[in-house]
Amino acid sequence: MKRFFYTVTVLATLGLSSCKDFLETTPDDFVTPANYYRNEEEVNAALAGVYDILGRNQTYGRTLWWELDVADQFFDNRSNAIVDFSLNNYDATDTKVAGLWQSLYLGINRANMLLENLDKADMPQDAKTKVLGQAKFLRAYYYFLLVTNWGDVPLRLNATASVKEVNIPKTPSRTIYDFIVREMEEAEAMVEVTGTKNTGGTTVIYKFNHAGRVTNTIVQGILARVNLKMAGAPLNDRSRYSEVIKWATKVKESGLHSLNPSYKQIFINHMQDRYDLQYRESMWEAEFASAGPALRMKKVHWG
Amino acid sequence: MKKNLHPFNLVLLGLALQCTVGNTGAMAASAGKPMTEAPAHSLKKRERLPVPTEITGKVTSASGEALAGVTVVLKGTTLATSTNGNGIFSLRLPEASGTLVFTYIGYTTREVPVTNATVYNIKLSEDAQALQEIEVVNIGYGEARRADLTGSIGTVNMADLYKAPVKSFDEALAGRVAGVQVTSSEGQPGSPINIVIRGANSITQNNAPLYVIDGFPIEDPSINALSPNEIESIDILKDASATAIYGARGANGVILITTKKGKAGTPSITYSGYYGIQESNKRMPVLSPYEFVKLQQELDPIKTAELYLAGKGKTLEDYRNVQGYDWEDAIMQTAPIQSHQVSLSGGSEKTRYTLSASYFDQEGVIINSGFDRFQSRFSLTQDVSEKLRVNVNASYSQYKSYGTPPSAGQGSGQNNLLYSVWGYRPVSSEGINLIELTDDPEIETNNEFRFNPILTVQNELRDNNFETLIGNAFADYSILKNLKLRVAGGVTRSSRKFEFFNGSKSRSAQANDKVNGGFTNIASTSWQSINTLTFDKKIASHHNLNVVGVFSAEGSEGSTYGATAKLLPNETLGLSGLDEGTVGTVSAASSDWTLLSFLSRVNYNYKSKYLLTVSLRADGSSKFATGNKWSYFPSGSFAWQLGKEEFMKELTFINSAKIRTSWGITGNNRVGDYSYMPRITVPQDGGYFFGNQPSKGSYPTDLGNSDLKWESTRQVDLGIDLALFNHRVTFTADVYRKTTDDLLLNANLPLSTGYSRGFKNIGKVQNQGLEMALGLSPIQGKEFTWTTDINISFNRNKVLSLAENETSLLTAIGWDYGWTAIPAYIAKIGKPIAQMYGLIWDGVYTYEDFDVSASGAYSLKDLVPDNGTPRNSIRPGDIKYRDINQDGVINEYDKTIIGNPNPIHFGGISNNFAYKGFDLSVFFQWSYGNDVINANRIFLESGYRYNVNQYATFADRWSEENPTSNIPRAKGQLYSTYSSRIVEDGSFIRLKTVQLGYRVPQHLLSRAKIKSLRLYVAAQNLHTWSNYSGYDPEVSVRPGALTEGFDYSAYPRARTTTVGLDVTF
Repeated sequence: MKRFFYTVTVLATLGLSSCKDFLETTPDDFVTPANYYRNEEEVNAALAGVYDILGRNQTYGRTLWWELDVADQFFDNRSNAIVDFSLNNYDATDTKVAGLWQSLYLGINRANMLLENLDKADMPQDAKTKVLGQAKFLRAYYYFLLVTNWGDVPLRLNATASVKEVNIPKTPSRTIYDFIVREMEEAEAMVEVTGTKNTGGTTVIYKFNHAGRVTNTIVQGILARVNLKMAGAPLNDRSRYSEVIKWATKVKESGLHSLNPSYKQIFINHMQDRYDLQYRESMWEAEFASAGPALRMKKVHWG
Repeated sequence: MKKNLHPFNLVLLGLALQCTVGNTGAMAASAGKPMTEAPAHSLKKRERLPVPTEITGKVTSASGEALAGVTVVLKGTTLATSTNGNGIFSLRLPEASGTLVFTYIGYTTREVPVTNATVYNIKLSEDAQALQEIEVVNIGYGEARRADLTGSIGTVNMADLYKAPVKSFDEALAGRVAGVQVTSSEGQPGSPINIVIRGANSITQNNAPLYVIDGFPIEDPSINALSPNEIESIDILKDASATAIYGARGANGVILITTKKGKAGTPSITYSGYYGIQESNKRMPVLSPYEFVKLQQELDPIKTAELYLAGKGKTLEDYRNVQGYDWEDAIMQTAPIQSHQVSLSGGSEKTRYTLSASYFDQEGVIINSGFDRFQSRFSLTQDVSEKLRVNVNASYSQYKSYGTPPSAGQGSGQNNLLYSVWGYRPVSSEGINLIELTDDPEIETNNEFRFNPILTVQNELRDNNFETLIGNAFADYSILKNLKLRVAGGVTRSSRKFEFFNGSKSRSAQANDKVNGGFTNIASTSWQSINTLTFDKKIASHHNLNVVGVFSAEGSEGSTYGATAKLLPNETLGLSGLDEGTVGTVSAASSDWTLLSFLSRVNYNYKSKYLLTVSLRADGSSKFATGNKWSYFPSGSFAWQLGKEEFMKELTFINSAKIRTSWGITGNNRVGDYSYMPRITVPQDGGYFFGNQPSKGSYPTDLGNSDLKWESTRQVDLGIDLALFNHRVTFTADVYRKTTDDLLLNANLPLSTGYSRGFKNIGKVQNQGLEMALGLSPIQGKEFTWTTDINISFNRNKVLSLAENETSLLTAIGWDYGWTAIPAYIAKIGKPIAQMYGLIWDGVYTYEDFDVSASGAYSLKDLVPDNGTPRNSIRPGDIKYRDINQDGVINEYDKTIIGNPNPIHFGGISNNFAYKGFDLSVFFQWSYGNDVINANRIFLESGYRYNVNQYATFADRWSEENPTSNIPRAKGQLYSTYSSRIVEDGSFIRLKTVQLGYRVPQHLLSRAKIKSLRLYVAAQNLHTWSNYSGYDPEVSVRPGALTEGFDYSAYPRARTTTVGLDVTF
């Protein structure tokens, strides 16, 4: 009997001492942020995750060029639909309103997460800087879409860390515009240079054969646009016009972009999913999945 | 179900009884043990008497069952024997005089004078008082006499439950136990059945109870794997004092299932089987060809003229006598159901075993659907020594549920099977036989997904193949006389292989994917080690103490792997040809959890009069972050056996009266294994295409919450148990209040966080209610008996708080892509968790609502609100809604609560009659005051679309000729919203189970070496009384606390009629 009690005691003690380890399980089906962003590959994937927002249905995949833009290109006239964003008959429950808002903040949170974790990645500094520039630019761009559509919105510059962060105040749109300009100006110096053109000459070296990657002329072009928006309603900050000229001039002086003399060719190119390497009039394009034979849609941004 | 006491205790009782008849020499008899012969020496002593007689006989119960182990004593002597496994005894008497005394636990002792006869066939009747005394209840980690219970525990009457011809016990559980709400989601064989005990605690998480099978807790058991015949008893723990010993998993209640074990006695072989048919006679009548064409004319006169009338040289009247296609009949069948079980059981005093195999096969009432199962089980108990007993159980079950699930969401609501059945055209042009075509060539295909329903059920393979293997064992060791150790361990392996295949004539194959298929393999292994020390002692004859200490460790790991492929070139190869197609999606996932627990429970009573139970459980779980892994769940309860007090003795009609009260805290851990962790995902379709070159993207998908912990439920209960008039009347009532806070809520987050939802412990829910059970034995004659059991439950559920700044939570149902964002349910503070949400229907617009212009055009009067559609498009006969905020516009702000899926009360009435060898059991089950959203009517009673047939009720719609109707005109309800028009009263009372049996008299069987034979006819779901217009009011195709009572294309419920027999050799 004593021996029996002894055995039980030993077993129980063994059990207790290993309790701690016993309850520490580790997932083998996914990674946590703590063990991610370790190298260039993972950082690039995270960056693609920030870009991913541009191609969603809730943004340039549909809502931004259809429901939000439908006016002169075509009219939405479906017999069964009587309540819709595109029919100017909608309320706050319209999922497209929430969808755009949600997608932009998704992109912002992904960018915040990447920016917070970039330091720990083991990769060349140069590549790191380029990622930093793109992430900063995209985050600022998503804020630009938010302020232009909603005005004052929450300005979140850190990745959400807790489910308790639910009471988030609005930030005045002026502060957000200033932030956008500051960030984009920083990014302009960090991102890839679109290409080079020797002064006075005709030799042009482009870095990419597409307009999906954010490069310096794209940032310059968008900066001109952001400043232009600030100069007009609702901020009416007329001092911004000089900035518009400054950034637009930079684009012009790069010599990398010019207007395509054939207006219709622009659309033909889009439909053929071909990037116009001759004129590069379309400076930045949202890219979509093109794996299958399905219709590809592209949205032009005029820089 | 009444269970016998531990054989050891029976021996003691037996001895005690022997003493009362003054017999000291004879051996005690006990149930389940073959009686030893009377000692030879005692016979010898009496040999001097003159004419010895050999007598024999059989002892049976009132219902004719052979009783084994009945003690037979010649009064005033030591001469005794006991009956064998067949109830037979024989005794050599010194002379043909004296009195035989028959004694048996739980039965009234009978004295029979010895005459010249040599055969004594004796019937013993049950003694209610004695049965009460020995009835024991599984309380988890031990057993207790029902009389000594302090908590609220419901016990299923298994004899009644066995009478239902069903695949698994949960199908027959509804209405059997007070406080236990059982809802079958729809009628498809194998479809889920939801059990909620004392109301839903959790808003977004699972409210299913914890199951404990043979002592092993299982959160997500395969109830379908277990044949009801394999179950010995089911006890349901309801109040906190009963459930707190299951701590972190006890809050939703606990169902304790004990499977059958071998009993000592001569080996017996039992066969139980039945065969029957199932049919669904309810049809949803649709418009006749005449009414259909008439409707099309209203919808679109120009198209209709071409397709049905002038264009085909016909008039509307020509359709009067046209026989329409009957799609509903074409997919329905009268389906067979059969069940066969053979078991072998027996053993000696030291070894007991049972071995069984069963086969169950149920075809569905919709062709090509059904359920089948093969199960085998083995159980062995061996007493190794006086101190050591070992038990081993093994069970293997292989089962399959198959068939296109009609109610599953498939993007468009038009893809659901019954939409095509009801909505398909009843007529077509000459030369077009719709029955043979995949789809209808005469209707516009734009946005039309109707598909020949007959071909759908014939060409879609949807197989769920399950396998469950359970192995477990325990060893009981008596360390000291009062101290017992049980070491138990078990492993459960279960797998589910889901296979789908869409043949060339299926809907899916008619689209881009062509012939396609795929599979998913879900497998899990869980293991448990449970070690229990029990100290049981009577101190100073009046103090009874029972202390249990448990240490247990559990774990589980699971994985999912699957793949799909399309454009399969060889259809004949079926799924084996998957490798030849174009690979579609590949899925892979794995997960695991562990749980460590310590618990202790003390049961103390003084003279069985004042009873006290306290318990404490500590649970540590891997599902929470370090620091939050451990939690403690205490409980306490007290009961007073009022009936044992002196002052009650005078009230002789009271046999027993007990008052119980309890308090305790229990938990719910139904959350993902790693929900507390943030997660980075690399999805198949995420990322970006730089210059059309794919670049995989990764991003955070789950925020995680390191503060996550158990949801905790505090419950108080006050109960009373009464037995009156010699146990002819028993009554149990409980009132309770449960408050659940720190809900594990998958809470909405502000979208600006970058997440839409996150798990947190927030929100509060309260359930309070009353449940009552009444048992009556109105007639207890020698030949005829009648017993009846009634139970009724009232539960009121209320949300006390939700997430921060949240006053309500809206939930939409994805039954159709146009409706995925339209809320159907609301959880609002101060109201029950799920309330139906929408507009209040106010009939239709009448002529008075309009101004008529000179040209005869109608325009809505200024003060009359619109109905969600543009004012200028509204016409007389259009649907009208109540403008709650009175702004003249119908929109989201006019939505309100339009129904409640929770019943006001529910319950069951069971009646058992016995007359000679006949027995009749009649069981009714009801639910009162619950509503159902009949979403079928949105598409099928609205005339919303050209060429879609409608329910026959739509013939009575508003029209110029029928201006008094309140059914909106064709195309008169275009604004997509739920409204009170489609919320229906789902109250019902169902004649659920009826069985008439006949036990063939023993004397007819003895020759055939048959121990017992019973023949019966049984029926399930015989008739339902309800005002619900759909197939069946017991429906919930999107089960869950937030979305109860939703019906769209639900599988009809079958009525089952069977004939069966139980025979023992």
